[in-house]
Amino acid sequence: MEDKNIDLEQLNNEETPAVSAEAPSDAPAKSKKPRRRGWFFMRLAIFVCISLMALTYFIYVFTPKYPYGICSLFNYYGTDKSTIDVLAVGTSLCYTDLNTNVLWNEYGIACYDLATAEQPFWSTYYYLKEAIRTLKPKVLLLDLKAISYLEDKVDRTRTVLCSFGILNPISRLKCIYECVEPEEFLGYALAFSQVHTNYYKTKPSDYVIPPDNGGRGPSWKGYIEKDEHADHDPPSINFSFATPKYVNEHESEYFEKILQLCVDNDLTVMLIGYPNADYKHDHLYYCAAFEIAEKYGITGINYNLPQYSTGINYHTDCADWQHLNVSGSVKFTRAVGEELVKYYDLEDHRGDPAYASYDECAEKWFEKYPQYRWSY
Amino acid sequence: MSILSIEFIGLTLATVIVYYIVPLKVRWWVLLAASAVFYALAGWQGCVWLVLVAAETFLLSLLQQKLLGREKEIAEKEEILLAAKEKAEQDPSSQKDPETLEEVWEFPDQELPVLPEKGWFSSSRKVKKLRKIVLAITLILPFAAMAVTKYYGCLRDWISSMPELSLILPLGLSYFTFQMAGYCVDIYRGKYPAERNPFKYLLFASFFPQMTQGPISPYPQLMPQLERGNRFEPDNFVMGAQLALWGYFKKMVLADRLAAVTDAISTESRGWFILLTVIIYAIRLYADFSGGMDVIRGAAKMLGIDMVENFRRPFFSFSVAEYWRRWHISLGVWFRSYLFYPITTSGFGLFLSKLGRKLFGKKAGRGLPATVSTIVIFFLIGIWHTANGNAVIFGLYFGLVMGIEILLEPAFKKLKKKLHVKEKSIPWKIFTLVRTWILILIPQYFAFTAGPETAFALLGNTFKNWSFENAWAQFTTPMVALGWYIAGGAFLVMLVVDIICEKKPDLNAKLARGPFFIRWPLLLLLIVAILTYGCYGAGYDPSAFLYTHF
Repeated sequence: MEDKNIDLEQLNNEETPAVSAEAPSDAPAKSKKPRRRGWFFMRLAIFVCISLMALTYFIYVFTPKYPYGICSLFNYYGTDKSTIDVLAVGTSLCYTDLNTNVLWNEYGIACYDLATAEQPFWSTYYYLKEAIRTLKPKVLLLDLKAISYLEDKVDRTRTVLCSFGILNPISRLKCIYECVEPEEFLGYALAFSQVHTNYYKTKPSDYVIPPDNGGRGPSWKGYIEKDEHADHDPPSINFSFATPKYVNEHESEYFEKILQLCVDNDLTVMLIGYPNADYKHDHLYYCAAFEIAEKYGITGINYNLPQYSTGINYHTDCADWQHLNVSGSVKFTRAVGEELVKYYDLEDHRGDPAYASYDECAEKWFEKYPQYRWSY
Repeated sequence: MSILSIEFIGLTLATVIVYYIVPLKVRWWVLLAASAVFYALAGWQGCVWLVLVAAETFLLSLLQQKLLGREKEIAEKEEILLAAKEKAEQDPSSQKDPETLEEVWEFPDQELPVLPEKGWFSSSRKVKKLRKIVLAITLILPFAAMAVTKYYGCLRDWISSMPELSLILPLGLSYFTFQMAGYCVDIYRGKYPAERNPFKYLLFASFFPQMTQGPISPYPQLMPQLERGNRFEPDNFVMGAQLALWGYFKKMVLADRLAAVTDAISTESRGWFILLTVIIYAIRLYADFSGGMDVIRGAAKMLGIDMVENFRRPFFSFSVAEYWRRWHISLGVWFRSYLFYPITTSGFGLFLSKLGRKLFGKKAGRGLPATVSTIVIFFLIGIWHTANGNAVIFGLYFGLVMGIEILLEPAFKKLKKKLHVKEKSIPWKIFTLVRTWILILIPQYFAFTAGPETAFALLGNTFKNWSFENAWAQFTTPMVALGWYIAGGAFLVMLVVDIICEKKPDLNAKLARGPFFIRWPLLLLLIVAILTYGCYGAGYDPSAFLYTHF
């Protein structure tokens, strides 16, 4: 594209300046200016708005729709908030171990897993802040795994990209800021530079809002089953107390912020140590977390400790070194369900038309895994 | 700071906003402040360098201006004295000694001009000599410093006994050096008065959009626009934004995508693929450099400043000379104005002209000074890029091709006449276009390879192994299929736009003034294409403009 060309050759051979210093280029047509400029700025504003909307949409299209990523939050926005009694937040342990379908089918508990892979506490904090803007669940299940994370920042792009699911721009930017080094912030904040290379991976379903949650549909409640199998020994109860372990300050700061947020909003919190074959490395961190939470009058259950029986057989119920497979998640969820029913005043909503989406989600899931249907 | 960076875009937009908010008279201060921010962000060492060179050229140009005034004054006095002398000599009846000019002086109310007998100011010739010395000092310092910074490393590669120095190459070093040198020569030539405000001069030297890769703007073209303070003009803003977007498209979507192919060139590749890669390099270089130029000109245009055009679709040239008149125009013009013309019109040039007439006859011989100057200039252009064997071959090649073209021009004209060639016929145009392309492609082998050995090996291998078996595998080794489709699409878009511009050069203005329902979708499409298919983000070096290194 060209505009008015300047003939440099000619200019160099001229004695006088090509552009007069005295005469501004736009001297004539002065009277028309104010109106024309006003109209121009209005059109410019409209164009900028349209462009921003288009770009936001394309950021959505190119952001990977990991079910464990932005889907759980996007789907949460679409769920009728009044129907969520138990909100589980945290890492991948949360969405693979806590089976919302079992909780619904066997206890009538309406639970939603608002969890993302390797979610640090600062992300949990902003997720939670966003979640409780419209909902106050009766019980909040807080995964403790992040207390064992040692890094001040997140080193995986996919973990940062999960925050793209937060619709509130301020919370999203704050969350990104906590996740990445300052020099990387702008790239993530403007988003396109991080996701644009995904154009070649996009599927037709990526262009649809909301995402299809990995084929699970809009009634999905955040649980992601793992069908794999890995043989592990039960977590060692021979914990090494000899090596002191220090909780990362950034994690502990945000852990406390979460607890304070819950206290300020009168949320009932239950801390959860999800069963984990690799637990022996995390034990001291979990102990530190319980110690911190005690200051806020908050407690919970660490299902890795021998006194809490979940019936999990680590030789058959693990998907990998950390996560439970479907069979393990069913067993574990039943144990959690028992505790929830025992200690918290949670209604059985089965049969309530307002909770039809839970029925739909559970039905779909049990159709795939009929062997785990309630068999009492 | 790269012009691709978000910092540059942010700085430009902030400058545009502040520039149009403040009163007209102080707007140039905004430009100076923005330039200072830009340069400071690029490194304080470069900033110091720029200020030092600007201070030196500014002060010596003022001195030059003063000397020029004295020279004129003395020349006038000399003229008067000469006239008086002649008058006295022509009067035979006069017994008076013609040397005693006071006695023949006719204007009693005016005093006879007096010139000192000795010293620099005793004659205009001596003052001119002094001015030449001042000009030489003015130019030697920045050019010597530039040469040391640019070529010390290369020199040390040849002479290993030289001590190791970690010299920092300031951003846009050769561009601002050339620009200021051009200004100094113009002041020496008395083309226009020297700038008296050091801050305005500093702005001329450091105007931020052009610092990374030019253009080399002449003072009378740029300075009035910088200092006058432009009023906000919607058309300028829109045209500037459009031009910048178009530049980003060429650079980020096309040039940087093709980089994967040209960077992966190997002497083991098949002949046809080597040739294709060289063609791709030529396209990449054009898209890269002209794209960067469009961004720069677009940014300036948003501020109401028209910068000189640096590219005029060079691949539509019908001769190598025309190609160089369309490629990096400001550099070519600079060399022509400040080297070519002085060489050809100097005593050496006149000697060459005489020699040429003796050797090649009257018509062809006249072209010898131009031929020699062209070779010298292209040799310098070659080593301006970088001081290595490839650059020397690159420069000499173009110099020789153009020199031969000048020398043989009369013979070619005769031949064309004999063969009844119609210059406006399409077959002839196609022939000359293809011929120019071939002549331009050969030196590209030396432009993107590490050394002459590789370049010659590639050139030799171009004519070997033209097997097309599993051709697609050869294609997809350096770049995936989708990359080829995107690059191909972007190239077609660029080609179509360039063809349109060749016919109607004011496409940008037409689009800016066109109906919004055409402009908006096109701009949106361009923005989305840049952001989606552009090469940027993690793992990409935004400072990798090919011409930034020069």
